Amino acid sequence: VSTHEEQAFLLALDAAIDALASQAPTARTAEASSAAWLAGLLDEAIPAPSTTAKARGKARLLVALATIEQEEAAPALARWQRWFAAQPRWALASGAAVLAVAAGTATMASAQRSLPGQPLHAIKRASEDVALAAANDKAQLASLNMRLAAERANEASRLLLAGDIAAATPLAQSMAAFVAGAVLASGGVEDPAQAVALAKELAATAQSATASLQTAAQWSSGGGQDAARHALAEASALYAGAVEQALGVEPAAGGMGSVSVRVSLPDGAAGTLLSTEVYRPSKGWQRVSAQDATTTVPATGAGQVPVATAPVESGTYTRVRLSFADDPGEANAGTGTSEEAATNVVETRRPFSVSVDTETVVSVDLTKQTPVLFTYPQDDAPPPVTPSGSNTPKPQGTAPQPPAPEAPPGGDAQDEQPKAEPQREVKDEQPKAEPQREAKDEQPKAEPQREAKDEQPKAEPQREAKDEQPKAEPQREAKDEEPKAEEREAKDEEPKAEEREAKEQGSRSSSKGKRD
Amino acid sequence: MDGRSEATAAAAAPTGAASARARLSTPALVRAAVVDRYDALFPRVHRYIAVRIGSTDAAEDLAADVFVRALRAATSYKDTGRPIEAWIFRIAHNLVVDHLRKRGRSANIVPLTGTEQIDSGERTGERLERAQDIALLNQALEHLTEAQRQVIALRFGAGLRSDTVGEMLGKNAGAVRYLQHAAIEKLRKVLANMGMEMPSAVAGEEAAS
Repeated sequence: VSTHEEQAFLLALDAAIDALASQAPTARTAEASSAAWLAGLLDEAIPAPSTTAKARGKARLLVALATIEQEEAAPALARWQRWFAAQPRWALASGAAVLAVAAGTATMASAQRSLPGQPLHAIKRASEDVALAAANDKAQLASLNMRLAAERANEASRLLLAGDIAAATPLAQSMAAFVAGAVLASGGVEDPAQAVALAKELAATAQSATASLQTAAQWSSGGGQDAARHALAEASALYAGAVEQALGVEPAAGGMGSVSVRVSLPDGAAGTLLSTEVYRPSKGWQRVSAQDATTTVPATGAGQVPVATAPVESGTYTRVRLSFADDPGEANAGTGTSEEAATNVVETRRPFSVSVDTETVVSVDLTKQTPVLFTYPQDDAPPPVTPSGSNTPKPQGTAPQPPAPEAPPGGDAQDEQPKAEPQREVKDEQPKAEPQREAKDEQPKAEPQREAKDEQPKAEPQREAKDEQPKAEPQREAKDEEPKAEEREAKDEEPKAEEREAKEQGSRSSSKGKRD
Repeated sequence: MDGRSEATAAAAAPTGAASARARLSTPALVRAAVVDRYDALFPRVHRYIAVRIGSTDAAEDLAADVFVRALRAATSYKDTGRPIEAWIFRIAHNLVVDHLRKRGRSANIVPLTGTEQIDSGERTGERLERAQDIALLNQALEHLTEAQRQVIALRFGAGLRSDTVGEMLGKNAGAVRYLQHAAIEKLRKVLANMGMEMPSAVAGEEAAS
């Protein structure tokens, strides 16, 4: 059969299919259903790539981009860098000293504070280049990259606060590139002890860098928030990969501590927690809730609910994973896709350490769409809410819940639920999760959460309200009236005041933990 | 046709919508677009490669290679108005071909394996079941011709439209649909022989035809 004939045949076939499809919708449906069948099969068979792999790929991409751009834009600069790299350190140090004297120390100091676009900024960048080229080993290079990432975050924050979003965005990207540089460099560190120390340094720096960007994003207008959030998500993914990579070599720890996980759900949301796990790079996932026990997290609408406590080896952990059962009512009332996975898994990535003989409290805040993980040393932890009523959660999940727990989100459970008043107020002021539809894979899929945004427990219209309500409007209002940084403070401080009380209840705090 | 596929690209990547429209006339713009699309495209590229080569672990490394190679090849990119996705998947295709050639086409394909670690005992049954499904599917994919497998990878792995797939393979959309249809039929038969149950909707269709 010649190609021509084949083409003609296929064209005819195509036409026939189209004709069939228009005449008999069933044919189209059948074709679609067999495609859906195969798509489902492949979905099952091919898990999404791991976030670490994605972050590592991103790091490689950004580094390649930086290299290409540098080669293209300034071959002379690359030569300079090679030259610098070849010089002994003392020569560079004295060169820098001469430069400092010539330029004046005051000039150098103000150059350090300069922002992009200002004349002195070029001096700042040049001195950074010198420092990068002068780095002697991988560890030094990694921490220098981290420091520069923090510096870019700082600049970006200041520009965001000044309302210059256009200038802040490339800075945030450059921050991600420096994090990528740190990732690569730290991957080359061979001494395990040094790698661990480095990872901890990365943790500290990244935390402060992201915190400053976050604060700035909260204060700036809509576009700035998006840009900053995007950069934050990028940087934190890269950074999580870096830390895990570095900590993979962490030597076995010498003792046991314990970890206690608390969860706060949005107003009106209740969920059945199937398991709570923590992740340690050198050991993998580890379950901290009791085996085969579920915990019902009630719809308190405020505060932290303890869900699991367990002894674990001391060391650095990088993730927490919560697996919620799909609400049965939700699945049936939905679009008829009852074949969905049985669980909603929420994973957070922010490292925390567990020291010997102490309890570390890890709070997972699910009131926002993107989960934020806070860790507190025991003393500063906000008091757990001790809900009364039939579905009291037990830390440890020692009391297995009935096998078919009915926990409709925002249903009658919400009405019965007594609410902790002061905390609830604070929560209400908190910004609602932004409708951030960027399809980030880290984003939790937990449906009940989103639904719970509606505070009124309406029987019917609730679902509609979820889909149609434009969330941007109320959110913006809330933001303008009430600066968010203050809210945050309020949120952090308020619980502390009640801390004593909670401690006297002596729920489980046997030790006075301290996070390092 | 171009207009339609552009629209799809824009819908699929809301953040990159601006750069989807803007003409990628310089290598720097192309590189920016590649970096811009990384987050959205990485999982799709990974899936495409996994279907082609039959290993999810190796696919992770190869998927990262695709983007780095795209950066390096940016100087040779010509903006014809088609979405940049098609170009990136073409690079992915070339990488896959290289990879398969290196490995030797006749060599046994490593079964698709997940990378997740699921420790808790309660999920062991579920996991086993899935591992079996994966093994079966992988064997079944081996029965397809190279062209069929490629269409399946592009349509269901990469999630591209028939017309985009057709442009990439130099076939019209009808031919793509025909290949897809034949591939699914084949898979269904092979899997049925292996004892994998069919969903009722698909079984119903079989009875009808």
